[in-house]
Amino acid sequence: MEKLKLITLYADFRKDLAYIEKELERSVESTSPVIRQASLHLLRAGGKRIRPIFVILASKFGTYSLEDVAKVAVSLELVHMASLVHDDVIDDSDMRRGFETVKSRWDNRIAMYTGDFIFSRALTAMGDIEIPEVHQLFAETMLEICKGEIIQIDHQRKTNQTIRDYLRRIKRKTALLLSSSCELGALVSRTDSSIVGSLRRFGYFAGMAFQIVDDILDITSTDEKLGKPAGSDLLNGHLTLPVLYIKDDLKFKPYLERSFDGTLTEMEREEMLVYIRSSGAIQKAQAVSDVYLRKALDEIDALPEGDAKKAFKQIAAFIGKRKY
Amino acid sequence: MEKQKMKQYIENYISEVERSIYEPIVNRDVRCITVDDVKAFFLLLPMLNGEKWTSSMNTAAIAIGAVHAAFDAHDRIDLSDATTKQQQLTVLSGDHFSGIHYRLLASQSEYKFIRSLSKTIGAINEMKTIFHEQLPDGPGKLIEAVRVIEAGCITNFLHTFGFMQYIPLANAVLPLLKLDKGFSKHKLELSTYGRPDRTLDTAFVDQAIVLLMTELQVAIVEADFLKPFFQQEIRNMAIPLFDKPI
Repeated sequence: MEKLKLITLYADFRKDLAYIEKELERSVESTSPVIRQASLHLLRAGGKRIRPIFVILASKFGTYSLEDVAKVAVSLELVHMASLVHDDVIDDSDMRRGFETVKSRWDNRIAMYTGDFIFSRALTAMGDIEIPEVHQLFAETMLEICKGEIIQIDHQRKTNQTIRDYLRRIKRKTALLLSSSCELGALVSRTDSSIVGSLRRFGYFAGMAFQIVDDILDITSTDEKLGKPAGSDLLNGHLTLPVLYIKDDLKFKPYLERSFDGTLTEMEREEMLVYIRSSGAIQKAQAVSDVYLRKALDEIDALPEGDAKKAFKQIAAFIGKRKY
Repeated sequence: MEKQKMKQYIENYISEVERSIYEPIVNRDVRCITVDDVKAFFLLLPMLNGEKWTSSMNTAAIAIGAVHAAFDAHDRIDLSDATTKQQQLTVLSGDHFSGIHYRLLASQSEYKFIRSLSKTIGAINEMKTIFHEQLPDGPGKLIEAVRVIEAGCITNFLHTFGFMQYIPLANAVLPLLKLDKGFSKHKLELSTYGRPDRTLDTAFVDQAIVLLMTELQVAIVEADFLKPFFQQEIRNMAIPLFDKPI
C-alpha cells in the first residue's frame, strides 16, 4: 500500500524512471555470471529509488537532458547499492529488504568484489559527464559517506554518544547523498546557482528527516515489513535517536547492554522494542524529524513553480509519514 | 648511484600514496596497508627511464597506488566473518581508498582515465570473482586471470599516458612474480583471490611460469628504449626466483 503511494508520487516521471531502471540494469552487465546475478538480485530487490527521483526532479529546474540525468542518477544509485553490499558484510546481515543478501547467498569475498564492481560501474557512468564540479562533488560525497561509516564503527557499542554525534553521523550516512542527488541533478542541467543552493539544502533536510524516520521504523515496524529483524540497529551496536532519548533509563539499560554484548534473547528483543515504543522516545525523535521536514518544505517554497516543485513537496510529506 | 636514485623515487612515491590515503581511525585500528614496490617500479618506469613526466601523470600514478591499496584491503576480508572491528574498518578503508583515487583523478579532470580505469577495476573484480568461483583450467587462462588482476591498472595507466612500449614488461613480470610467490614460496598467497580450500593444478602453474619467462625474455630484448640499468633491474627481479639467468 505504502509502496503504491510512492509509485503514485513518481507517476509524472514514470517514463524517465523506467529509462533509468533500464540503464541501471545495463550498467551492471558482467562477464562474471556471479556478479551479474548478484547485481541483478540487488536491483530487483527494489528500494525506493529516492536518489534517482531527486536527481530527475532537481534537473527539471535547468536544461533537462534525460541521457545526462540518467548517468548521474545511475551513478548515485550504484554507489548506494555498493555501500549496502559492503554494509551487509560489516553487519553480517543475512536479509535486506526481505531478500537474501549477497554475502549470505554467496560469501563475504563475492560481496566485496560485487560491491567494488558496482562502484566501478558508478564511476564509468559518471565519467561521461565532463563537468568538473560534478566530479568534485561526487568524489567528496563518496568520501564523506565513507567517513561517516568509519565513525559509526568507531562509535559502535559506545553509550556515551550525544544527539549531536548522532545528527553528524546521519548527515554523512544519508543526508549528504540526498543533498548531492539534488545538487548533482541541478549541476548537470546547468541550473541557476541560487536554485542549486535551495535544492542542496532541501536534499539535506529531507535526508535528515528520512534517516530519523528510518531509525524510528527500525523500532516501530515489524520484521516482515522491514525485511530484517526489528531493532537491528541496536543489535549491531548502533545508537539511534529514539534510543539516545532513553539510553540512561535504568529499566532500559540492561536491554542495551545485552543488545551490545550479543546476549539478548528473542523474547527480550520483543520486550525491549515494546519498552522503547511506550517510553515517549519515538515521539521525541519524530518531533526532530518534523523540524527537518519543515525546513525542507521551506526550501521548496523558494523554488520556481512547476511539476517538479509539486512532486518534491509530495515526496517530503511522504518521508514524514512513511511506514516502510 | 642509479640504484640509489631509483630507490629514492619509489620510496617518495609510496610515501605520497600513504599520505593521500591517510585516515586517522583506519591508521589507528587497521594493520598497515602496504604499497607494493614492484608495482610502484613498473608504474614509475617511464619516468625513471627519462620519459617526460607531468604532474597530472604523477597524480594519476598516486591514484593507481590508492586503487592497489583498496584491492589489498578488500582481499584481506575473511570469507565468512568480518564482524571484528578491525575487519569492519578494513572493508571501509578499501572503500575510502577507492574514493581517494577518484578524488585525485577528479581534481585533474582526467575524464578519459576515470572512464578507462573504472572499466579496468570492474574487469579486475570480475576476474577475481571468476577465479574465486572456478579455478582456471589451463595455463593460458591462469596467465590471463593473474595478468588482469596484477597488472591491469598499471597497463591501463601506461596505455592512457602513451607509454605503450612498457606494457609487455609489466605484463610479463607482474603475473610471473605473483605465480612464483603464490606457489613456490607461500602456497596460500594466491588464495587471496581463489578459495583457500581449492588448489590449482601445479602443472598449469609450471607451464604458465615457463610461458611467462619466454614472454619476459622477448620483452627485454625488444625493450631497446630502456636504459641498460633498468633492463638489468628487471632481469634481477626474475633471476632469484628461478636460479638461472634470463
